[in-house]
Amino acid sequence: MTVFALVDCNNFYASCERVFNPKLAGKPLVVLSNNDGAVVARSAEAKAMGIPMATPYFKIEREFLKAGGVALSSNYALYADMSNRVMSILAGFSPNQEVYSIDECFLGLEGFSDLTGIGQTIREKVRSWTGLPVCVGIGPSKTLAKLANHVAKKKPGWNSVCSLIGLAESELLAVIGKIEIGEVWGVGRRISARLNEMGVHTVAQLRAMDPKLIKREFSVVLERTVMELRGVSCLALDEVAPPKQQIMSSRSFGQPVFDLPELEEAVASYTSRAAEKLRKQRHVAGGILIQLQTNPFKPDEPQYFPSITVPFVHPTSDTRDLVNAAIRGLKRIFREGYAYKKACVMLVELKPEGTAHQGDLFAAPLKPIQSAKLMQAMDTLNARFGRGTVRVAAEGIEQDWKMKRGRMSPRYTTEWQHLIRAKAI
Amino acid sequence: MQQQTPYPSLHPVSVLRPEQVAARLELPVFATAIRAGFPSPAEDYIEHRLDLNDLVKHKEATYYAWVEGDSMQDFGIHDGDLLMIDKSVPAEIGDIVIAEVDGFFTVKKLGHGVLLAGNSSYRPIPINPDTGVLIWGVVIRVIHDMRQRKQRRKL
Repeated sequence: MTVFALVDCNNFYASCERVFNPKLAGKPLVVLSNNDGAVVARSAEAKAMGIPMATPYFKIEREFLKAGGVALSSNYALYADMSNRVMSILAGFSPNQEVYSIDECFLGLEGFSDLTGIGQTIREKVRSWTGLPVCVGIGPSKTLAKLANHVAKKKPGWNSVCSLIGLAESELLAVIGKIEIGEVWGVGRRISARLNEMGVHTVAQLRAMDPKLIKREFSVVLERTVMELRGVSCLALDEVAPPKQQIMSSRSFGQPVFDLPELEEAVASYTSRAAEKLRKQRHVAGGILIQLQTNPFKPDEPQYFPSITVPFVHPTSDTRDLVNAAIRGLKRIFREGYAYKKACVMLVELKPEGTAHQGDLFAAPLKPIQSAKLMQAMDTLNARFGRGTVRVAAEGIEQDWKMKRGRMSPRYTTEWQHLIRAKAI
Repeated sequence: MQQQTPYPSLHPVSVLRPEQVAARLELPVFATAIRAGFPSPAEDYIEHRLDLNDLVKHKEATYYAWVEGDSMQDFGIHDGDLLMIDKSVPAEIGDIVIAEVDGFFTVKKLGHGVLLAGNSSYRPIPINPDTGVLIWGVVIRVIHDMRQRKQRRKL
């Protein structure tokens, strides 16, 4: 029988911050998105205050600070390092691991007899080695492991570990039967609403549905969910993440941008980052999409949300081609008189490198070999000496539009100058 | 602009693996003594290179900290020293530990129900529910920069 565990860090970003700053203990803590815009993570105390996810921070700032809350900019270097530590520790428990996101992973745990005990060992080890609290859910399918994790996290009495393995039908229903279907992995808001209309509200009801009917009325995906809720494993571990179908690079600007030259620098820089990612997964792009946005939270300012896709004759991963196309697209959609808040670049129609494509009789011939060598050299230099060491001139030198991250904590684990200070006083 | 700090400035490390967040010092090890004039080239005897990261037993649990202050000087820990901390090992009496006290990290020696300083001008800190002392990790190595200290004395 298959056995899956889903290990999930509690309030991951907020917990990372707390490991290295004892002053944050017990205080409501929120972590803000790029540019300090929206709340992307909350400590238990902040959740208890009723602060919803994704709220624009300026809307809650006054009240939150009055209540003694602390807001921090997202410190992705720290979170990525802590995530690597956690995933590396978890890899020691099973040869089969699927890193599902920065703060959760699936493990295959076939062959263990005391699964709750293993769950507790996992939890204690991660806690002791990293200071991060985790919850463990264990079940015969990934969907049930996810649901068990929900129980471990939300229901008291489980001590952060919930195993559904070996439970009789009635015991299983007592644990998960009454959970609302919205909590089930893969059941989104729209599907929930439609199921509710059919009178299906709980996990027990969804499990009892006829899979054939579900397939007909919804999709094969939801049919699989029903089977997985019944303990039939349909989803295997994805041990290697599939290559991305699109690559996006988008940020908000630190201050509104009005001029084309500044936008050109930003777009060129985002495109370069995206191109690097593209080459890393050994793909080429068939087109590039450029999008601009004004600030929708300032309704009295004129609004403009243009976007354009520039297709390539020859799919490419050369930063110079991609930047050229991005700038051409940008010039087509740029209008004066707007305060631009955000730019987004997306590489689309990705294909593996070296896939044959139909040539264009009228297009200029390519020099793929020089291009590949140059790009390789560029990636090596940037990896070695820091991002942006070598860049196309269009990216500019000053980069005034860079993100605002005024409340960022030190990079405690990845920069020598930022290490914690141990007082000997 | 480089940040001004009293600590040695090192290259920023952009890779995030914990084992790589350490100075890479590789020294060749020779399998035999080499005599002058011996025909065989020395490189043939290079077996592997030593790396200070070999001293890290639990890379996922290893963290670093800078020392600020002189309260641990009798134990050989000085202002500006670099501490290597292992969070995975349980603290025992007599260990040098990093503890959370009053919202700060402090480095002290763990005694029976008390944190001890290595300097007679500092009083021990009792560990009890009132002081809220928490042990964060165990210090397993200290890196002390001899040259930097000398320069500082000159100043």
